[in-house]
Amino acid sequence: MHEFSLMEEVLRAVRDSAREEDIRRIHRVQMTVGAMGCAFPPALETAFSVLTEGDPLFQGAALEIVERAVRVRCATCGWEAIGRDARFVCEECGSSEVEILAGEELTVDGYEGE
Amino acid sequence: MIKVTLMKKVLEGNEDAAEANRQRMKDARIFSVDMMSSPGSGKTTILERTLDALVADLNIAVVQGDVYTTRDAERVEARGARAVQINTEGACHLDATVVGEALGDLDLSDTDILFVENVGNLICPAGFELGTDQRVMVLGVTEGSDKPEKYPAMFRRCSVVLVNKIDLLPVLGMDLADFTDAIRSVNPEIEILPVSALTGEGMEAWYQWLKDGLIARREE
Ligand SMILES: Nc1nc2c(ncn2[C@@H]2O[C@H](COP(=O)(O)OP(=O)(O)O)[C@@H](O)[C@H]2O)c(=O)[nH]1
Ligand SMILES: [Mg+2]
Ligand SMILES: [Zn+2]
Repeated sequence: MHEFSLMEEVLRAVRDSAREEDIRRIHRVQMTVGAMGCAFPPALETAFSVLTEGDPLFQGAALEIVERAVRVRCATCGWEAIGRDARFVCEECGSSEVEILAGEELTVDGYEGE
Repeated sequence: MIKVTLMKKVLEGNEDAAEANRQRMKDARIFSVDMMSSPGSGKTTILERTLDALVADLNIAVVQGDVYTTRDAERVEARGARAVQINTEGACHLDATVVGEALGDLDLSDTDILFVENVGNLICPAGFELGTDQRVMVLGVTEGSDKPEKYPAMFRRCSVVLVNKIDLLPVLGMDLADFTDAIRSVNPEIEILPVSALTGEGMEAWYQWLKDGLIARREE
């Protein structure tokens, strides 16, 4: 359960930025989390509510997480697969030159406030 | 209402700390390895045997982070390593900052190889680079061959996997190929070293891999 330390990083980035932008109230925080991004969205949500509780800056704020499935493409023949079918060896031509197009994200994309 | 775009990697802070560790160990001409696995795969046993084989010729340090077995630092110290125990207090992985603090407690000028025994966990350590030269997985054959497909992030991010406890393959009625196929399906490039830390089978290839890594570091 390292989502608490990840969320501390997220909140630090948002707080620092809000101070610079002179934002007093945040309504939503947006993140993107890939299936191989090493974080579990429900645990991030728990961490968000625990770590923002009682903080006026985040009063009533929501965490919005866009989840990304793993997407791969064979660099040799162009075969693509997504989610559970995403293998790292090409199912069409057997090549191991398979690139990961999506699924490794772990970013704080931005936030809205006033 | 103001919309602010950050587009910031959450692990950026850790990546910076890892880079600092990497530079520090490079300057000290140390070859370093992060050992990751589930609890009980045999990381400490592998380190013990490795120390027995190499400690006469090389100075070896171990940063111990595995919280599931509190005596691991003493176990490797008894075999001639210098060890620093990190008190992870229930954390599920090490990060580059705590490893950086541990490096401060070691005499790096006098170290050839540095191992980090990460916390036994197949999920969380994957995202947290520590700044070691290599990341190595240990997969015990008793854990079953479905682990690579269940935890691809770990296997994708390592350069070597030690398939340990191969002495138990006959008991389990399994073939080594069950494991090598499963590992290659998520990471075709990974180097697979089948070993038994109990009997010593296959361990020579691991020692050679470590020595090659150290030679490469010294030739930089
Ligand atoms: N049969 C067998 N048992 C092993 C082997 N390597 C380790 N073990 C046993 O597995 C258990 C866990 O080992 P340990 O090194 O503490 O695992 P760690 O949690 O990854 O550090 C211990 O009881 C070891 O004796 C092996 O190659 N074969
Ligand atoms: Mg151990
Ligand atoms: Zn292909």
